Amino acid sequence: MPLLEFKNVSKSFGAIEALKDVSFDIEEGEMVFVTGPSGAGKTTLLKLLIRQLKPSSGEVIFDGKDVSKIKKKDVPALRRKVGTVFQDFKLLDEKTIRENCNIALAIAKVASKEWDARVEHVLELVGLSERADFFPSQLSGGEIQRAALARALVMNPKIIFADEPTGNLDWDTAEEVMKLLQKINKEGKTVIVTTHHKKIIHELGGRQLELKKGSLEKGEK
Amino acid sequence: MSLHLKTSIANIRRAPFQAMAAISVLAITFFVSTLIALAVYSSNQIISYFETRPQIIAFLKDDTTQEQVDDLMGRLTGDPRIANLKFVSKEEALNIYKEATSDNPLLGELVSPSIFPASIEFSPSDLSHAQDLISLVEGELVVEDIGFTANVGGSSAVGDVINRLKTISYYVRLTGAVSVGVLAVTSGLVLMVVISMRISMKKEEIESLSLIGASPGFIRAPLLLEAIEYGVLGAFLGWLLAAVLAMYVSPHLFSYFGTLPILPKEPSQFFGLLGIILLGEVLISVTIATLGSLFSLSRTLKLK
Repeated sequence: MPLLEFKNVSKSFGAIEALKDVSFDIEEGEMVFVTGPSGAGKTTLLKLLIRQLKPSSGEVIFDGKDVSKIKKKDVPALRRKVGTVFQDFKLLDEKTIRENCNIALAIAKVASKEWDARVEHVLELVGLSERADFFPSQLSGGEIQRAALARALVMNPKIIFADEPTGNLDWDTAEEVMKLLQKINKEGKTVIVTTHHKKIIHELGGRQLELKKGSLEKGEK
Repeated sequence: MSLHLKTSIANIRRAPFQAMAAISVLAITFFVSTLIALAVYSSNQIISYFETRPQIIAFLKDDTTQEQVDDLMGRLTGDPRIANLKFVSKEEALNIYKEATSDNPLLGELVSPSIFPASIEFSPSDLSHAQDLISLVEGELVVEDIGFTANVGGSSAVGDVINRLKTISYYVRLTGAVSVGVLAVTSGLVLMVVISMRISMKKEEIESLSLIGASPGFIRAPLLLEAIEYGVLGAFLGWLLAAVLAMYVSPHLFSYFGTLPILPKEPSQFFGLLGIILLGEVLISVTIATLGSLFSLSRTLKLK
């Protein structure tokens, strides 16, 4: 059974169709790139997955459950299963990177005695051990991106969804972040990355879903 | 320290003027509440003092036999409206007189027991029964006259004094309840405004937390704790100011009111009373803070 399945999903905002009859599935352990120009519907995919939006029609099935049908009180539990790296990071500016990770662990209801070890592990994985007590404003763009990834990873989610993680980065930093995501995938985590950096995808390889004006052009299984 | 407590303290430190406004309003509320609680306590004590003080004295006729006394005592003993029933013989009456005139022993030497009538003394269990009891004993054949303790005055004055005190006490309570009610509502509203401002300030943070899977309870907890911290701090400050004031004025009150037990004179009882008031006020402040912040959260915090 696939970990994530989009079945004939459409989403409209008034007259604008952000997604048109999109169908695909993603198996556990896969690394998938969702590409397409701005406005193609990449972020809408994420919003549908974490129930920030509900589809106009179709089904989004994650971990065996139709996301649009789960009760409102169960939405936080769904979001804890999806480690999201937002385009605008959504790190808490007044907290250090370590505190951001600790809050994520508190949200995931992890016992506080485990926090230090888990935070150290993910920060080492993303290469930010020495920046643990820095605030987001004290980090570079690439470091913020990695901090956001660390916060997503520390919750040990079933899937990592990184929305345009390379959007505001220079080429070298973007490649570095992508390689990090690939490393995380190789450790067994399912990873979805939206990007318009086709060159990086070509270099890294992997399955690609291409969205154009809300329709899936290629990548459907 | 828990994560939510840390966050709530950080929120307070980040906006100290909002915190000061909230704490000040709550401190005023609980300053007034403490003074009113003390005034209510004092009025209760004064009423209770007068209610239990007035003794009704039924002076018996000289020819009353012991059998008649026993019969009347027996009937009065069974009446639940009567407390502290006591028979005072002629000899005992003389002794009381002698004690009262001990500074001038000659006065005691000049009288014999025969000039003092025997009497039956009692207090009404509740002053509302006083007039009925007076009428009851007045109707007894063996009763010559009815008297009252000096500080009460005549029979009609008994009810008057107590009724006046009860009226004063009623208005103290009513004024207190209205003032505390208005101040409590104001405090609740100020807390709501402060928490609503906090939610506006932290809108992005709240959204981020919600999107990474924080439950509504997790998001609300630091805001609720923050309101409770304002409440408890405000209650404590208000109580402290009123307690210091009460400690300062109590010696003057004691000397002015004399034997009237307006406030406990024993330090342990005095501080015990203040402790009970503090406990009650902390509970009330937590309730106001919880209700104010929850109302504010339910109105302004719509989680997607």
